[in-house]
Amino acid sequence: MNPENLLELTSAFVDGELTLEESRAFESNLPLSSELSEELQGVTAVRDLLRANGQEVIPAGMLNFIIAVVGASDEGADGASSDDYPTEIAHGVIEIIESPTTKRRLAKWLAGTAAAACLLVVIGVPSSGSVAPPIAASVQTHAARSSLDEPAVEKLSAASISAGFLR
Amino acid sequence: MTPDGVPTWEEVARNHGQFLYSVAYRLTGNQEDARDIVQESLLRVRRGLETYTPGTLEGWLARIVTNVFLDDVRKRRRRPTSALPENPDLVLPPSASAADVSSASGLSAEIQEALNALPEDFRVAVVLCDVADQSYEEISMSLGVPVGTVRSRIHRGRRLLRSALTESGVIE
Repeated sequence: MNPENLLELTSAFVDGELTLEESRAFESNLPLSSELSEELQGVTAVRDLLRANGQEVIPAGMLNFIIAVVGASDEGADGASSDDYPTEIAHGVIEIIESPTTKRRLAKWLAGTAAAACLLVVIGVPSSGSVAPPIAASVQTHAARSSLDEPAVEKLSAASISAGFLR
Repeated sequence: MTPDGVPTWEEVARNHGQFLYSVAYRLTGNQEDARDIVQESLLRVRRGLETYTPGTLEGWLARIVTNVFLDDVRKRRRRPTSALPENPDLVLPPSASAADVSSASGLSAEIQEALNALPEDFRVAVVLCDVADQSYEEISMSLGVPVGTVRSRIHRGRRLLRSALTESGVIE
């Protein structure tokens, strides 16, 4: 095994991830190569530093907040309250609602609602044939008769019948 | 805990939320992205627990959080950020850096900045090894790359970290 290959194995050696044969080769070359020895020291220092300082403390309230959001995601409940979340992160409610996953769900919900609304419009609104009586003509008739001093309701009723609104 | 020994997603969140957050924070380098990653990871945990067979839970979680992170990186690459306006006065101030938001000593911030500077492939391998405490075999399975590639990425990542941390005076 050449020295360059041995250098590449330094991290695996430190992590105990070498085969027995590789490990023996590494150890036997260690006293012979200052470069290898220096590499070992450097890698060990970085590894120890990361392992000692790698943990990052989750901000107070964030975990409860995330649990509430995840719990509410499929249940339709309002599980999350920004009251139990620090103010500096409370604005994140909006960001979480706007997270990619939540956005996809919101888009699906909106698409479904829009489709349902369109269906209701198509079924519920009368076709153009059934609203054929000309409103303008009806109003004109009503206006013309109103000038004859007849009772208003009768005039309107008659005009509506003639225009086809009443049967 | 369900009768077959599988924890509920809430138990996973309570008992391993700190682990998920640490890995997510070291991968992303900031609170907001780490929070989003943890949230999405727990959603996947919730969906995936039905098919989860009891084993190394943290290995499974590390794989999920890594996949969420890598998916996010790919998404951002597909949708690059828009160009900044020409008028510098209209540019929003930058969000808090790792140095600003780090709750620990300055050492944690220095480490995070050095991690942020690593290429993603190296950062993921190093974080999975040194923060998530995964074996090379587990990392290899999580990333879908040969163990030899994992070896190489971890070593090159540590070399770059050593160089950056030596430069900033954290290590000699």
